[in-house]
Amino acid sequence: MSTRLYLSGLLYPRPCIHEAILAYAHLCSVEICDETLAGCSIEVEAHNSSLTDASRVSREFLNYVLDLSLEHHLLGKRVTEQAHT
Amino acid sequence: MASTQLSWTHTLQDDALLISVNLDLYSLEALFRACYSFTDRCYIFLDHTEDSSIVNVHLAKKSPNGDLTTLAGEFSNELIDQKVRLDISAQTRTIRELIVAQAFTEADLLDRSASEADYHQDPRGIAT
Repeated sequence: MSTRLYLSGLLYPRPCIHEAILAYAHLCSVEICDETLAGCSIEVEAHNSSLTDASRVSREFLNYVLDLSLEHHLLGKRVTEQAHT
Repeated sequence: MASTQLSWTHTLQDDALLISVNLDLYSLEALFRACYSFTDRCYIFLDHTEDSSIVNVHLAKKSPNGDLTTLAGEFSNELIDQKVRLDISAQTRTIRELIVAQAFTEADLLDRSASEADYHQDPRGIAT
């Protein structure tokens, strides 16, 4: 079961999305599609999980992206260059 | 017992609640600060359309026993608290900076005894 969402570039900086994808690679695969300057769509698919677990993994992933984004906006934290490769 | 639904929230199909935040009333920073204090208590997703002043905040509970209506109410209050804090901070910024500058002016934080002492006294014990 996959979840598709649109992440606004105003709220979710692209480097934060990339870092979260790396951090959650062992739990889910995330594909970025329909990229524009304004934002991008992502499709989150949990690895080998039940319906309940897949939903939880998606929500945990989104919370993590949000945390990174909030730290970026509020604390000026920058993700490492490694997250972009 | 389930709480009564708040009039400014909308119940979504996936058992989440939606709060629409008007950026003309609450700055992005106030919204971010409110969200930051709630990500450990619930799932939050922010939805924004370009050229719109509305950010939709999706709230979903983390535990089955959680009360989403109470969370939404507390989040709404936190949003107001953060806005007030930021407003007060902006209004008092000048006087705060003056107070800090004055405090540092009055306190002589540099120990000049080592750099301005006579070499005969040798306060740093350099001479062998």
